[in-house]
Amino acid sequence: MTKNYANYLLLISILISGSILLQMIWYIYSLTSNFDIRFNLFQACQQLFEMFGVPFLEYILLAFVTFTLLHLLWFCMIQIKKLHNLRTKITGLTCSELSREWNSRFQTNRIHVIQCEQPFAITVGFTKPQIVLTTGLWDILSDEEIESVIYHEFHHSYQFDPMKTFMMELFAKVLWFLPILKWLAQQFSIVREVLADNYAIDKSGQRLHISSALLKMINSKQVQHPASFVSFADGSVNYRIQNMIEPNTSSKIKWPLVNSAASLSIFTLLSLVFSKLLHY
Amino acid sequence: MKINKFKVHEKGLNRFFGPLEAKIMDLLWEKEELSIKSVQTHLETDKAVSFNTVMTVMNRLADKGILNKRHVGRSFLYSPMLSREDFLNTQSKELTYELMDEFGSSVVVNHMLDALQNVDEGLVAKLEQKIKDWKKDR
Repeated sequence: MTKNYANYLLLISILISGSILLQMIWYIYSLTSNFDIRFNLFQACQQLFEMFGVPFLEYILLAFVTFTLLHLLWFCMIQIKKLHNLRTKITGLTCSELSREWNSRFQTNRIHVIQCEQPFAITVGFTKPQIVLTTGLWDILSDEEIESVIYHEFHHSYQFDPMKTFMMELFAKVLWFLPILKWLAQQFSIVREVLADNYAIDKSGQRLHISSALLKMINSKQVQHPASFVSFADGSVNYRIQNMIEPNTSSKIKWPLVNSAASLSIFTLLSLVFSKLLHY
Repeated sequence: MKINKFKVHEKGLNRFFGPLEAKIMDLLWEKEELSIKSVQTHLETDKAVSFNTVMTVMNRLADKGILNKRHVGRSFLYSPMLSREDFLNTQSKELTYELMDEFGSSVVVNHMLDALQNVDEGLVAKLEQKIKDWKKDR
């Protein structure tokens, strides 16, 4: 698994979602401003419905496009609000002494250690992602293992992974009718984790520390996510273990045939509608 | 018992209570059980406060399940449900649990561990063995 593979996944997701979303915005714009645009799938659908004399479908189409765009805005707003709340809580709960110690070890100001029994390590934020560790980690991990976990999170932070994950998840949720986007988001998540592990291995010069940190966190009885914990990377932990045991075998990812076929057929259908209209 | 709004930037009791609530709780943890009147008398040595205000605040704390209310003669006696230490422990856990909950539902986050429930036990056993081997080789 390489950095390029992750970038391809992100690029494909942005291209697919971008082309659909832009057309949706363009379609709404053309309706509100009476501006005639020719090459738009949604307008093509609308014209097709008019042609077959089913004008009520036009309204369904309009409602669908409006709902999708509003959903997009709503999702962004909710996540920005959540991020703001998280920031306030993280700053309020930070243990200044431990944070200062580990920040000076790594010559950074991105590490926040918060008081919490559950061992937890995350990277959070858009523009300057911060690393949040809980004191529970110090109960189960050695200093070397914590260092490797911090390297893992640094990789996420420097690569702006939270923002990329946000975009992939946003597209997958809002454009739910294209299942390939969900698959891309899941694959992206797995690849990012494996790359972050590899960075930690590279930095600490051995596989032992990050591997045993991962194992201890898996075995820790205290790791219990709350009910609302929504994981987007089902099974990513298995790819990561595989990558630690045999580094060169983890790149075998199966292409999702059903997902691709479904997404492709939706695209083909829209394109057919479009080409038929042009011909007409 | 659940505090709905944590004030994370405050320290100690002020994180969970308003200023008057914190004073009342402090007093009740010290004296163990008091009537509204005696709480008001104690508070007034510092700053004037009306009986009604104290009554409203104490009843609200009792409604939230933070204070216990006991009928004795013609008045009520109030006492804390939990000791100060137990209360702070419970609330700190609640606060961090809430934080974990927000981590979980936010997508602007990269987690060190995702989807633990799907972990393959066979792979974990292999990794354990591998770690033992690496440690032996050191």
